[in-house]
Amino acid sequence: MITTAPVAPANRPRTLMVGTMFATSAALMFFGGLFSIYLSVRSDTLAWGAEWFPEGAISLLPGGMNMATMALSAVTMAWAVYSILNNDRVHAYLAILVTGILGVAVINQTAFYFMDIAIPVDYNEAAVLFYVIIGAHLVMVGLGVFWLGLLLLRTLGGQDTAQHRDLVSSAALYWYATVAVYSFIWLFIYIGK
Amino acid sequence: MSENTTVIERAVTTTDPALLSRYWIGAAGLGLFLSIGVGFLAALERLDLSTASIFDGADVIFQLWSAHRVGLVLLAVLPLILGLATAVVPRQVGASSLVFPRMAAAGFWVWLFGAAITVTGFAVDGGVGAPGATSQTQAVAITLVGIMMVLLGIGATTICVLTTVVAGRSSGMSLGDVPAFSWSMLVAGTMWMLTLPVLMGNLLLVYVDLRGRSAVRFGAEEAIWEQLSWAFTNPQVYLWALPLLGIVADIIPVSVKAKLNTNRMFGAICLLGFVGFGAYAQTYFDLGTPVRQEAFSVVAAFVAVLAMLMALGALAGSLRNGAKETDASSATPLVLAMLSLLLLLVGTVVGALNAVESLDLAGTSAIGAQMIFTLAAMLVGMVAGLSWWGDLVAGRATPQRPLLITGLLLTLGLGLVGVADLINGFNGLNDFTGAVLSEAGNSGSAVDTLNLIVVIGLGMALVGALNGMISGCQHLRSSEPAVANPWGGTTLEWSDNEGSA
Amino acid sequence: MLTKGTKFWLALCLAAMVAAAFAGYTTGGDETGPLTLGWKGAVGNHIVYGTLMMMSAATGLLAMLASAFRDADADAVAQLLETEDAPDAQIKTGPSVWPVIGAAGFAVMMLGLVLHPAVFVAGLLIVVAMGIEWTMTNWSEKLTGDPVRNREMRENLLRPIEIPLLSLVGIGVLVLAVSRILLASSVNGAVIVATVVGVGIFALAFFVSTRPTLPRALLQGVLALGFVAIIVGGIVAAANGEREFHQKGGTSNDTLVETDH
Repeated sequence: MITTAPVAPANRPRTLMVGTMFATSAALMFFGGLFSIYLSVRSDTLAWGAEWFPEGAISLLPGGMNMATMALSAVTMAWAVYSILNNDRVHAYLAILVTGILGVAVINQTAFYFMDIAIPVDYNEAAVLFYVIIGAHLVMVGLGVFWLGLLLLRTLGGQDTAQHRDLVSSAALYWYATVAVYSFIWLFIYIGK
Repeated sequence: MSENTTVIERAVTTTDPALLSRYWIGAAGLGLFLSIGVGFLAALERLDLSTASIFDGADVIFQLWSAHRVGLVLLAVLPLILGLATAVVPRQVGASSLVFPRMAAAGFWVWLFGAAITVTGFAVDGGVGAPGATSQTQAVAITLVGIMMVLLGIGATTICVLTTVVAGRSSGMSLGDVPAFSWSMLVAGTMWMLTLPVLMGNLLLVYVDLRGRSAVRFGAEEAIWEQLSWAFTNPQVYLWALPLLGIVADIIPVSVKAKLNTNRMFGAICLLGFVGFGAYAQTYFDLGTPVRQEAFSVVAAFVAVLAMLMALGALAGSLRNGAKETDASSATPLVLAMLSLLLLLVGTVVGALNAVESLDLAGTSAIGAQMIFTLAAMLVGMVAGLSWWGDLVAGRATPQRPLLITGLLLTLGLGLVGVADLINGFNGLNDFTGAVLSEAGNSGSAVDTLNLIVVIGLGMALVGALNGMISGCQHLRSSEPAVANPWGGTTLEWSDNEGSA
Repeated sequence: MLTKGTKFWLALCLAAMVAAAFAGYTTGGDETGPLTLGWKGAVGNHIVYGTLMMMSAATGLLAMLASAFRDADADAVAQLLETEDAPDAQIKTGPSVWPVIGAAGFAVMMLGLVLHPAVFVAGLLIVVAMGIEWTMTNWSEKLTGDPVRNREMRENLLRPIEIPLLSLVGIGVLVLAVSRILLASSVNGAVIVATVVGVGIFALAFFVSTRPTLPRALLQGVLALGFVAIIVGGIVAAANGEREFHQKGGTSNDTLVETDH
């Protein structure tokens, strides 16, 4: 049956990786622009002696928990890449699954924090920027989780190997960018407030 | 897809770069016609600055005016460039197809749906806010999501083009060996990917604030355009026109049968690309010295002129060393390439003049003049590109005369608009950004006459765009087969053109 | 040796960094601010400094990756695969309906942001479904070198899921749309609408059964038009809202009495 069919044409490696590197740099610029506006408006507001976030509104704990979760997911993503590199598919399934679950945990924690924070989006400029930046990152994580889900399907299909690991490497690059962006959110918004 | 599919099924499911290229160019032609059309209507109203005599108040005029600028860039110039790149870049680098053809198709459809939503948003009293703040919030929100989709579609296709240049090259071709148009797309595409997301961030910020119970600041209608305006003015407009340098650098040396100093030309493209980064020029967030008067902006404006002179130097070298008598068949692309270079040079010079504080051109119609010169350069360059690579795009022999007429009408029409707006800038006419009609400027005989010239210029450009669309349709219906290598080019796109029909 | 791509992006990275520092100092930054990313002092205009620095970071990433992949040169790829020539950058891809469906779903999703959350969710579901279909199509294209065999294998795997799921969605959408139409009509109008639509469907089916040679495309077109008409009717009816239902007596346990608008 299948053995009588011709072999599928080989796919050139690197194409997906190159496409992802452009998309990732675009994602970095998206957040770069928003962070620049955040820091600019915050600096102007504080210079005028006005309130930025209300006292005690931004708690470090949820941001810190998310940062820890994202950092952990970077490790599990590296584990997935390493497993594929060694053709260890069982570990690859596990690592991708755990990374996805950690992503879902971040979404869950952030959604809970949005409900809990009790600052309406139209409270002030800080609130608008807070929801836009963290909300956009949430979408970025959601896209990453969706990608990991599709990756898992493909890996289960057996097409990701040490020679053809573009899909996993590309997902990893995107995921690391997601973690990097969150570290800026943690630094500028949760710590710097 | 089985053999017995209908025409519509084949049309909507295609992933063929040549066909996608025609879609982009066709839709962009319509976008160009609409954009110039709304600009023409706004210009008609400017004939009498004392009162809104044609349309219902300054809000409508502002919507037309902003639709003209948004449309020119996002619905006309960028899709035209992507259309040409989709067909030409894979062939230039020796790739069998555009890399990620399905994503390229998705990019086009997302752009098309986004464009339709954007136009609908403008049509139902939306747009990108209005000084009088009386447009409908819901309609403004629709326009904003439409523009976001347009940006995503452009971004997705740009990634396909960039990936094709980087990872789709044939054996033995290093990145430094790619033809000039592909190189210019690499530089322009990189810079688009670094600036369009910033615009996307601005749009999202505006959208979220607008959809809040009451806008805090960013979503206030009078503030929307100013947050987005950096993408439609100096220096960002240079990025929209950057592929022009690649187009002319492919046309001129082959036409005059001379070598090009590629190092100098590629360097000029990189330099103009770098100084064209305009995401920093967000005047809305100015507090102290306006960002356009800061040393960095001023230096960048003058470096843009230097970059253009560098490019012209490289091309002049080819012209000097080239054949004394060029082949008459390549007259159309050559003439249009020269005209587009001239327009871009004028655009960079006007950009530098705008940066000179003592000339007091900030906020005047000279800003619009710079945009018009630069975008006109790209449009005329695109017509030159289509006359050069038209056989590859359409798979049929390209009729040169209609393209020459289109290019000349666009040059003359938009050139008139640019000159009139520049002189009006010196007369103190407001660029209309965020202004109500009565604040547009002092009405006077000179200003009124020049505004009439703007109307005439836009009318000529409108006829040019219409002529381009009609000749494009005739081109696609023509049965004359494509010529394999009409210009005697030596780059890869000419090596296998027989099968393109 | 640095590759051409690395040099290009590295040059952009360094130029953006120098430009950020220059802009920082000339827009009010103090001595150490622009050099320490604002850690020790002011950076001047935040937007200028921030966007240029981020550009530097993004192009730095591109330079790093271009260097790691040697610009993804075909020769470097061939060396990696230990073959004489690199394979084609893009394997032959046939027509696909997923790009246009995905784009339409995305448009619905974006419009839903403005119009109604239910529209957003509907668009999201289309996009997710498209993502799965796209991935599986992509997977199937790499199974063998025979496109027909690949399509068969994809269909064998996905059809048992697609057909019941699509049927379920189709029936659900129809039921929802028809119920909105009936609920928006007056009491008598609902009866009339139900009767007319029922008789219409019955008559159409009767007509079709007596014309076995009717072109397939015509039948598909009529059915598609009918489906679209019912959905549009449902949306319009949902926008108008249901007719009023008054309660006899005033407590929640009492009987509902319907009235016309």
